[in-house]
Amino acid sequence: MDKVSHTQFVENLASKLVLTEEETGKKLSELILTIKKESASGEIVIDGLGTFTTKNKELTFVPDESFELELNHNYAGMIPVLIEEPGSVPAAAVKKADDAADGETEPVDDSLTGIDSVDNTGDFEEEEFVDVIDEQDPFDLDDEDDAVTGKDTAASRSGEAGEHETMNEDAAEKVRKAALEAEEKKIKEEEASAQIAAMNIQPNWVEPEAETTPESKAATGSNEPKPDKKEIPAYDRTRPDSNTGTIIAILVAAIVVVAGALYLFGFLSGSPSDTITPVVSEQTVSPPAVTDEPEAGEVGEPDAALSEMEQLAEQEAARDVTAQPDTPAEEEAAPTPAELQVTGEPESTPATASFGLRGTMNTSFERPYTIVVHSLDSRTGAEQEAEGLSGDGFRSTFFRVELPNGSVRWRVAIGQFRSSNAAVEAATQLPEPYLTNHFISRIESYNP
Amino acid sequence: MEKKFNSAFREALRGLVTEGKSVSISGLGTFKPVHIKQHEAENEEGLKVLMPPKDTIEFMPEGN
Repeated sequence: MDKVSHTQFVENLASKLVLTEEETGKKLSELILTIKKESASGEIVIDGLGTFTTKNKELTFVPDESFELELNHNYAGMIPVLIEEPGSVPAAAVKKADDAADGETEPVDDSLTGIDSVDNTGDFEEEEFVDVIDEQDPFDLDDEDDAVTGKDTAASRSGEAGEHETMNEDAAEKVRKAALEAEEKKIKEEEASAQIAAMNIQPNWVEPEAETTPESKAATGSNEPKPDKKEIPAYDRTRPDSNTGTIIAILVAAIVVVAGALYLFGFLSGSPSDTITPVVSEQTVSPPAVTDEPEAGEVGEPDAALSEMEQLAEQEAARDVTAQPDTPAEEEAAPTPAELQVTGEPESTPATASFGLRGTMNTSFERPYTIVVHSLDSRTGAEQEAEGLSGDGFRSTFFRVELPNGSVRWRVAIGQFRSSNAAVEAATQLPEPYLTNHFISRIESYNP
Repeated sequence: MEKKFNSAFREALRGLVTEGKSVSISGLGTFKPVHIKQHEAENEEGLKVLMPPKDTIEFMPEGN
């Protein structure tokens, strides 16, 4: 910090008063004596500077409000940022989610995890975020990691089933009944069995560890992404019969077509901001289809069951389209890679998808936390600073702040973060002078 | 002249401190700008908040 000595101060004062330093020094001494004398018997106020008083034989100074405002012009209009909202969870849990969302853990291909689709569905208010953590953390990449690596556990599968069965219990029961009836009919029809046998594709499905092969793709009669191999063992465990395996293949193909049709329906009917919604809705629909498939797979002619499922899917899709975008996703299982392939790639790219310090500002994130590094009275200046930071690879923006006194400031910010904790942590990675001169705020609007 | 001097004194001192400089005046003391970083606190409802940063003026009377 620069220090100004008494002599330098007198020089400065003399230049303002157009007096000699000697004259100025003399007048300054008189003023100091007056201050000491007056403050000893009470207080002395110098307008625009502050109040001197003597307490316990010690001179004290309280700056004038206008002086403090001038000193704090960079922070004018700032209000406390709520870190913890009612009903929130411990910071450690939030941090875990932040780390995952900020990509501080292992990088994950967003096209596989579907994190984008979850991220873009709504506001990132702390409360909502916490709710998500409470029930099922959408940023917990364990499930996605398993899917990417081809791992699948009965526990995880049953967990998914448990959640969705509660959501569609009645509907699932209907499907099961239809499946049983159809199965009885089918068993009596030997011709149908022979026809199925003639297709000669059982080995691909009856082998518990079998992977989807080109033949099985052919059996589906579709160029849609192949059914995820982790679905196959589920059928085999429940119905090792080879004929049933074949039927399952047909059923899976039908489900893929239905899911594709649903996605298409959502894609065509939705506005740009709604394009994510079908993905979410299908996340809700698809898992029940998976968990219910063993029963449906017993059906020789699954049309009735499929019809039921189509209706269910349409109902779910319609419900989700009308739902608030920031509805907590606690009841929605993370999509499997197969589901994502069916529903399509997320719109945003990895560079704009996740939160973080670097990359490109994603203007679809509402009120994210950010690190303010400049507060200027000029829009042009703020724009230039933001462009400079972008050139350095930072995710930067600027926004307008109207102060209580009516004046306007333009603040330049770096990064987008899900929580204030994530922003605080990221700020430690900033270079000087930003490392020691910044503050955390929220982006209320982008580049006005 | 006294009013003019007081005004000049105020402007000179405010200007230097606002620029982030510490000003020492013999016989009176030192005026020093101090930055208080953004920090956690609890609001009236007992919830954690991040308080905005703030600059304040620290006055150290001469002799201390």
